[in-house]
Amino acid sequence: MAGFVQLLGSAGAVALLVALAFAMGFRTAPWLDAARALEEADAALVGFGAEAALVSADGTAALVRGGNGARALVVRRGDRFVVRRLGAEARVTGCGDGLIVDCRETGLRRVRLALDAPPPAWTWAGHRAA
Amino acid sequence: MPPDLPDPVKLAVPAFAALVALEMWLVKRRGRGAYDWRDAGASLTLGLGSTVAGALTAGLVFAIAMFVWQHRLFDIGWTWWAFVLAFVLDDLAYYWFHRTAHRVRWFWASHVIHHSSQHYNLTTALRQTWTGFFSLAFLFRLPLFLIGFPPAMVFFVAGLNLVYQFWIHTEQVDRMPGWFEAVMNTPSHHRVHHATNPLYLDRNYAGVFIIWDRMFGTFQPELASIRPRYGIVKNLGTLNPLWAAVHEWAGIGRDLLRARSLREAAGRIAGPPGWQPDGPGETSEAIRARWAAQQARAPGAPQAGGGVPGPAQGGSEPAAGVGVRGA
Repeated sequence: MAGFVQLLGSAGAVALLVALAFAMGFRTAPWLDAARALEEADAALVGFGAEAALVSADGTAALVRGGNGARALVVRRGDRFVVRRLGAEARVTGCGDGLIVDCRETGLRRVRLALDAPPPAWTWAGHRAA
Repeated sequence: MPPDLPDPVKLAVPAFAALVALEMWLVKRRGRGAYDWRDAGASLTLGLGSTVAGALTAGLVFAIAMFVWQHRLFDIGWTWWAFVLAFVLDDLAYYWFHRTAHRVRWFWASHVIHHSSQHYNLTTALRQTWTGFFSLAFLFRLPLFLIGFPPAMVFFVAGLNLVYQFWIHTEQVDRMPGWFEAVMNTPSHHRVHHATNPLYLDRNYAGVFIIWDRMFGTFQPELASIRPRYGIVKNLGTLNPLWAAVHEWAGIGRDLLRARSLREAAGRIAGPPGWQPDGPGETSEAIRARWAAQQARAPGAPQAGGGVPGPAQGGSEPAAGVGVRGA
């Protein structure tokens, strides 16, 4: 019984601290621009050699082209960014005014890039699904 | 007659909560360090879950400890020096457990939870494993019982060790006095441990005494020129605590199903994280070697995770939202 009460107390403390963090404004969502996308890709993938970035209009994700035609996805997670090198199993497909990038990875949802103009050719890297 | 020892971690919980709140205030006030309410929520939830998992398996761990202790080599009494010796030797056992937890994927699958935050603050300290018993982490303490240290004494000093490690998970403390940095694990040393920068990967495994890293060749000081980038080599795509707790186990299961040989299956379990059967993979050695080669080719290039590349320029490619790095 004492253990259960202690557990409830700890759960209450967790809720309070999370609410405090929210109330203190620790809920930023950084905007991703091309420079940041290149930086994130290079920092996460040693030797990637980021050259160009295609950034979603809403600043949440980007496709980055590296040396030797490699591609990487940069996507916002909380107030940080997560980077994935796109392997052979990844799929980039067109959808209306944007792209859908599917890394085929559990825990990483499909990412939509909203675009104002047609994407450059390197985006497709050999496979294009309409 | 053994003394009735308290659980140091249980006693410290209110202080943990108060210090987390204080650290949030300091981050806000000083602009140094970072918090994110979603990340903090995931870390604290994982900490709570770890407490439950630990309580469920504590009886079994204690029974195993008692069994080994019954076959002890020496009778060690409840003296003050036995506590001190137990604390030091338990920290040495922790060093080897921790090093193994980073170098063998089976143990990493359990420990990765603690590293899966891209933040480094006091909530990260509480981001603890749910699967420690399943991964057999308790094996590393068995030699202490075999030597003759009473299980209650060992679990008490292990609790003190855990409490010590709480305060070093912060960016609010820069450096401690020189003598302290030389002997003890500090926020600076442990920031290196949580960083994914190639130079910092798999370094500073110490719990309380950094001397173990200095002795066994795994020490790396924090450099002013390389700011730590926190997290894991392949950061999680979600803040879901449940996925953080089990993702590496799921990865092991998936890789075992695809394994084409017994050698590959063994490597997927007992090899280092990132190991691949047909190449260097993404082990810390491979990443560090790639980074070193890159540095050798372009000494002036920004260091991974430590510098900011030049500004992107408007590219010639006919698409909006495209940035191209200048030559």
